[in-house]
Order: sequence, then structure tokens, then C-alpha cells
Amino acid sequence: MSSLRFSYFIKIGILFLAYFITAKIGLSFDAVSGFATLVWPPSGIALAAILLFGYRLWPGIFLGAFLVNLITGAPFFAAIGMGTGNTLEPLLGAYLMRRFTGFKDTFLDLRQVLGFIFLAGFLSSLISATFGTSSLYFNGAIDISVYLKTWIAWWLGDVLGVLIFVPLIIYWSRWRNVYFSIRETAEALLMLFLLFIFCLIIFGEILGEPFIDPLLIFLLFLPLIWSALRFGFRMTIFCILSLSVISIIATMSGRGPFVRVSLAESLVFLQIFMAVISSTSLIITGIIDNLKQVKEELTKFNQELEIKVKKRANALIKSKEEQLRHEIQLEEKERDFVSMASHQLLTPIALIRGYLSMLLSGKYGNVDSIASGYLSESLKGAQRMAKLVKDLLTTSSIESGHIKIEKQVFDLTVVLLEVLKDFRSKAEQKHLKFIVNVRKESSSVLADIHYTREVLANIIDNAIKYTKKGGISFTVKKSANGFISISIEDTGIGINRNDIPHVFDRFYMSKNWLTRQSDSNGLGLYISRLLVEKMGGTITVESQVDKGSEFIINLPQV
Amino acid sequence: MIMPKILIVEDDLPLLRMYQVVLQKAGCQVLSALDGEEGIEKVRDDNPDLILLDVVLPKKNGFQVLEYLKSDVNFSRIPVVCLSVLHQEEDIEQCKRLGAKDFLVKTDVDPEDVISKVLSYIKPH
Repeated sequence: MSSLRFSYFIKIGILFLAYFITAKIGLSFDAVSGFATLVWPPSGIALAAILLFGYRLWPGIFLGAFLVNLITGAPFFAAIGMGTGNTLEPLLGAYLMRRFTGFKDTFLDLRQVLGFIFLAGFLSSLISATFGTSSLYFNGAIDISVYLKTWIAWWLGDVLGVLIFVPLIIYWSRWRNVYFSIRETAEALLMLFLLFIFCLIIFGEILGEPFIDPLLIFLLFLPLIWSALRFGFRMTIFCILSLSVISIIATMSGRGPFVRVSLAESLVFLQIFMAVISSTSLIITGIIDNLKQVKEELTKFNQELEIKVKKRANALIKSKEEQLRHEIQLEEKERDFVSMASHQLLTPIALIRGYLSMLLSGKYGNVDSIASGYLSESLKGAQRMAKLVKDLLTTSSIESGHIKIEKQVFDLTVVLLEVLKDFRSKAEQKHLKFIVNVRKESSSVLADIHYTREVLANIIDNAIKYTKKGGISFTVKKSANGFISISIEDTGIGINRNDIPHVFDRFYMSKNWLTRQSDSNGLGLYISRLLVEKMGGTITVESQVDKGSEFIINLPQV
Repeated sequence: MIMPKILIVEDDLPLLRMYQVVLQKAGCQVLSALDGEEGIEKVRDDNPDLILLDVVLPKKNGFQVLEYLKSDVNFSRIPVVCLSVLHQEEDIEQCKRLGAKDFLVKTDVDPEDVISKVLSYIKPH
């Protein structure tokens, strides 16, 4: 608390000193009626102090203004009146800026710049000018004839003080934030050089006669607008202050376009010009600043949008991935289930089959011929069931794409002969003959040897099953388009014409077939077709009822 | 002839009993185990002349049992016949690679045939 109060008094003390000293300097510039000077930095210092540190600092202003005027020779009550006016001016200026433009401690947008120029600059200064001039008049310090002149000088001096020193203090008090690149620095130096040259021409009159003309002052807009467009508030305020100092010194020493009979008169015109040029520069700076902010906000908004879009996209990808993983999991579960169920189903089938065959062997007890017949029917049933479960498992793994085709080079004829060995006894039981026709040409194929065996076994098993007499002939030969074909032709019951297009379909069973062969489960040819196709081959059938069927398998030739 | 000592490792008890019946009928001394670990223990304790080994087993599966047998010189010469409910090429190849003499599919081969196969592998004994 005490330290807070201490710093408060320190601030008031500093403000008082700054006000007093700058006021004393200002009054030395040929003050109109002794008190109304056109060079009045204290108005700007006071407002900047209030804006940066709060209304509480008002005693510093009052004391400074009161004492300066008292010392300069104002009557006591006039000094109080002038002090009051000088104190009210920055308080009102700060209040108006905060109330109507939301000013905090720096200029954020164009509205705040405009509010500052018109509310704090031109409007609030009216108070001090009116209070001061009136106090002087009512206390008999000035005559009514110089009232207006005094008032104008007072007002203009205050306006300029505010317009130059408030931005100067506010921006340059944050010096650390300034950063210029080398290119910017070069450009700024060029601009400042131009300003300096124009000042030399206009106020220094260095080029002599033809270039001494009041209209040349418009040249000054060039570097100031350049600064406003390219370098922002800090640099522009610096330029205005420099211009202000140079022009005042030049005018005081009798040079430049503003020189009149008296210094006070000269300064009136100079300060009107300065008010116009500084307001213009500040407004342009405000507009440019605004544009930059809008651009920055747009860029920021764009970046945020981009981030949002990316996040969304990522989320989408993630959910897709999750979905895929879930599907894979489901598939695996299903596969595991099928495999598990097959094992569980097959184990009791093996048991049933085993005991039935043991009973039928007659080694484990006597079985009469009737019972034996029934038992062998049961055995066939068990075998069919085992075949069905295995076929279902195979179908499921082919359809779900989990079957592994391992291609290798092998001789189709050799594999055919191997498979035929397994069926020899079965064929002999039915007195069927195997006729194998082999050409001398190579019958090497690129396919999966195990699945080729399975397909051949399946077709041969069917051929034996559906053939009552005659035989089965096998022909291996080169066929068109780089295939080796194997033909399996029987002299069996054949396939009904309506059924031919469907024999390779899943669970397809002809009504004719069903009556004749009850142990078909409608999967064998379907599996054969899937396997052959997986190996890059084809399987077709030609058949005539009661004459026989011919299955032709094509496998890729090496 | 001395009774051949045959170990059956099979987790399905009814199937185990069935093979036991057939083997005893054929004049074999039968040892049994219900899982892979028990199977390995029985091999260590009783040093059988042949092992009838199911592939799908709890605790240690048939492949692991085969690996164990292969790694131990005392047992690597015991002939092993693998049994499975399914004819799967990968399994067959792996069993053969791990030193199994044969691979029989339970649903395809009658117990009598299983036994005759088994006996053919212990003839030289």
C-alpha cells in the first residue's frame, strides 16, 4: 500500500516536472498575451500520462499549470482558472477516447485514431483555451480586443501538443517492440533523407530565389504519406515531430514560408499547417494499420481454418481406419469360428466313423448281416457328413480370400498318375477302366500342386460315382493361349442340359442328380471351380445324358 | 515279440479310448496323455516305442511336442505319427519338417488302418 502510494507520488512529481519545464519552454515562444503559446507540448504530455497511468495523476497537471502561470505573472485566481482548464482538458480527452473509441493504452484501429484526433485533439482543447483565455480576461490580465487572438493561439498550441506528443509518448515508450529489416531500414532512411532535403529547401531556403515559395510546403506531404503507408505510427510521429521542430526553429530564425511580422503570428499559420499535415498523416497511418490488421486476421483465420480442416480430415481417416480394422477383426473372428466349429464337428464324426468301422470289421463282437447293412449305411452317412464339413470350411476360406495359393512348376501328367493310384481300387470295384492318353509334348504347368490334386481327385471321384460301366479316359495336351488342358471323360449318366450352366454353382443340385446320387452336397464342383480360377485356369464341362460327361481343366503352361 | 509301448496324445477322451481299444486289441501296451505337456512327461518317464500325436492340443500343441522331441537326442529317434481332424497341407508339411513319420486324418482313416500304419513303423524295433 505504502509503496503503491510512493510510486503514485513519484509519478505525480515526474509529471509535474515534465509539465512545468515543457510549459516554461513553450511560453518562451513569443506567447500571445504572455500566456497563449503556439508551442505547447504539456497538453500532449498530460493526456499521454492520463491515458497510460490513469485519471489519478491529475494533481501533477494542475500543480504544473498553476505554478507556471503564476510564475509567468498571472493573477492568483487567473492561474487557478488556467490550471483548472489545463487539467480538465486531458481528463476529458482521455474520458472521451475511452468512452467512445474503447481506447486502452495503444491505438488499435482507425476509429481510435480518428477519435483521438477529433475528440482529444480538436474538441478537448477547446476547454483549456476557453478556460485559460476567460480566466485571463476576467482577472483583467488581457483586453477583450485580444481575446480571440489569444484563444486561437491557445487552442492551436494545445491541439498540436496533443497530436504530436500523445502518439509520440505512447509509441516510443514501447521502443523494444520495434524491428526493421535491412530493406525496411534502407527504405526508411531514404524517406527520412527526402524529408530532410525538402525541409532544407522549404525552411532552409538553400536553393535560393526561384525555390522560395509558400506552395512548396505541399512537397512535405510526400515523405509523410510515404512514412504513413510503409512504416506505421512510430515513424510517422517521429517525422511529424522532426518537421515540427525544424519548422519552428526555421520560422523563429526568420526563414521559411510561414514568417510574418511577429513570431506569434508566424506560428499561427505554421501550426495550422502542422495540424493539417499531422492529422492527415495520422489518419492515413490508421487506415493502413487497419488494413494490415484485417490482413493479419484473415491470415490467422485461414490458418485456423486449415488446421480445422486437417483435423477433420484426420478424424475421418482415423474413423475409416478403425472401421477397416473392425471389419478385419470381424472377418478373423468369423474365420476362427468356422475353423473352430469344423474341428468340433469333425471330432465326434471321427469317433462315430471309427467305431462303426470297428463294428463292421467283426473283430469286436458279432454283427449279423442285417445289422451290418445298417451299420455300413451309418458309416456312409458319417463319411458324407465329414465331407460336407470339410467342403464348407474350404468354401469359407476360399470365399473370404484366406486361402494361400502357392504356385510352383510341376508336370500335370505326373500328378494325374499319382491321383489315379488312389482311385484304382475304387474303379476296379466297379470294373471301370482308366485310359490315360499322354502326348509326347511337355505338360508342365505353373499352379498349386496340392489344390490341383484336390480338384483332380474331386472330378475323378465324381466320374467314378456317376459311371456304371465303361471307363474314364484322361487326355493331357497343350491347348490354345498358353494353357495345358486335361480332359476327364466318362461314360456315365451325363448331365441334364438345363443343369450344365449351373453345375459349378454353389450348392447347386439337380433334381435328377439328387434322385440318383444322394451323397452330393453341391459344393465339390463349386470348390473345384474356385480353386482352378484362383490358380489362373478354367474348368468347363460338356455332357450328354446317358452318354457321359467330359470335364476340361485348363491350367497355365510354363 | 515284446509288446510295443505306444503313447497316444489326444485331448478328446472318447477318441483316445477308441484308439486305446484298437491298439490293445493289436497287442500293444498303451500309454495316454490328454495334453502336450503331459505327453512330454510320459515320453520322459516311459520312453515309448512310438507316439500317436494329435496336432491340436491344449497347453503344448503337437508342433511344440515334436520340437521338444527333436531337440532331445534321447527321444529324437522315437517314430511319431501325427493325427488331425483336418487335411491341411501346411500342417502336414510342418509335421514332416519336424520329423513326423506320417500324418493321418482322423475322419478319413479307419482306426484299423491307423493301427496297421503305426505297427509298420515299429517293425524294425
